[in-house]
Amino acid sequence: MAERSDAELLRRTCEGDADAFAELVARHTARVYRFARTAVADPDDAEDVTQETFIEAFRYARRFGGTGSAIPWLLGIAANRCRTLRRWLRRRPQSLETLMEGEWPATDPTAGNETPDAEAHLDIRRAVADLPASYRVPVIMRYQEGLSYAEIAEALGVEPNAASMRVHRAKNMLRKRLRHLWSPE
Amino acid sequence: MTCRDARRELAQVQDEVAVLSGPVREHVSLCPACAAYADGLQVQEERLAEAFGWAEPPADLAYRVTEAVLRPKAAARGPVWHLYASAVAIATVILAVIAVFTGPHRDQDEGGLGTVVMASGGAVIVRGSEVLGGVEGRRTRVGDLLITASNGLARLRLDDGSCLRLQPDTIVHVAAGPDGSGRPVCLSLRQGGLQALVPATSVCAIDTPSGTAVMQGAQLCLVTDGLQTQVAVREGEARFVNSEGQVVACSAEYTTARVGSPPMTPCPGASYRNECGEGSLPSEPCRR
Repeated sequence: MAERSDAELLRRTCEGDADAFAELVARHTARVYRFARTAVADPDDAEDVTQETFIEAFRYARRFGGTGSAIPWLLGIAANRCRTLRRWLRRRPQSLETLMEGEWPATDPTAGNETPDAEAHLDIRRAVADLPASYRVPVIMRYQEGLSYAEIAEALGVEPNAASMRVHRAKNMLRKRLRHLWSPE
Repeated sequence: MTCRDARRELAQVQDEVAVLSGPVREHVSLCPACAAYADGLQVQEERLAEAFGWAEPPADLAYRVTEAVLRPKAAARGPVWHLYASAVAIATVILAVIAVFTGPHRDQDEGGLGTVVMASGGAVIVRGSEVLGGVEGRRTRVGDLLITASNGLARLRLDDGSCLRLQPDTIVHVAAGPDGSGRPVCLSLRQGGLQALVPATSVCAIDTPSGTAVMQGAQLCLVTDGLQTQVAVREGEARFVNSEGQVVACSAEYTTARVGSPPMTPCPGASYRNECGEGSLPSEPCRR
């Protein structure tokens, strides 16, 4: 039997089909968690963001207007939850820098942080984490989640041109900050 | 064609918003600096794509999320809990407005035993006749009632290092806190679910309608619907006691107890019927 589309699952959720929503959760939990983990760093916070994202998705399932994957929509919700959470993080005495240290997952599950590029990756992630939220989130969506500009635009509720412009500007900022990393070998 | 124009177009091509034109291609072939710039763009693209790690979610996360969202509103719950839920929703709105104007809250620490380190959705503390917003930094005290609404989450750090994570639709009463005398921390889970992480230096007892879980140096989850309680131990071990008997559940085991019946012999592995789901997870220290 063909796999049901996200739109179909959300439509059935609206009709009271709990199994349809459970299927959607099972399908997308990993990606929402991974996005949240990168955006907020702390694994506990990422779990909470994931949970809140699906709670909100369940409540507002009727608002999903797409016909394809629900990932852009879910990541848009998650991005809002992350933004709220980061406001809390900023108010905490614990610095973001402290949270970043040692909290990031390895770039490869079979390898630790001792890979030759680990330091460069950490520099990149730190630099991305320091970007303003309006630039940081599109960069994560683009390079971690592999979303197209149209999907990023859908997630953020902006025009595709604005989405590509944000990524472009973010990359300019990263290019200036991490000049040493971008030189071809 | 200037280097500036060529580089602008190269960046646009990298961002997939333009197509490389003939003049720029020709310029790059003749200008080593712009050729290096184009290579740099390519390197940046590749490094960005590989810089982000992938984090595997906990094995039971999807299950817990589904439970949190779809957990049936137990018919067994008395109407009083629905009144609580409504009160929480209203109080949360009012207190959120107050919190905006007062900023992060820091109570005077008289009799405090722990701190709310994260609260979202609807989460409040009922203290006597007062209803307080469960805002970050709020101190909790013995006698407090911690309540989360259907979309609420709260994380609490006790002064002995224990961590509690309250799931939506949960009510916890704080009966006794860490006072340095060695007495156990005593909580009463009246409804809903929580995860508890208790350090080896502390003893915690969580009372439920169908028994009491006692643990030291353990991580576990409890969920109760008022008639039945399920306990899943992730790490360490926990004793579950009621008037009919007691059992000890070890890491990756779970047990269930109904009111008026002895606790079930702990079972390893398949624990999908409880809040924590299957399998054990690595221990994570309480960071906050």
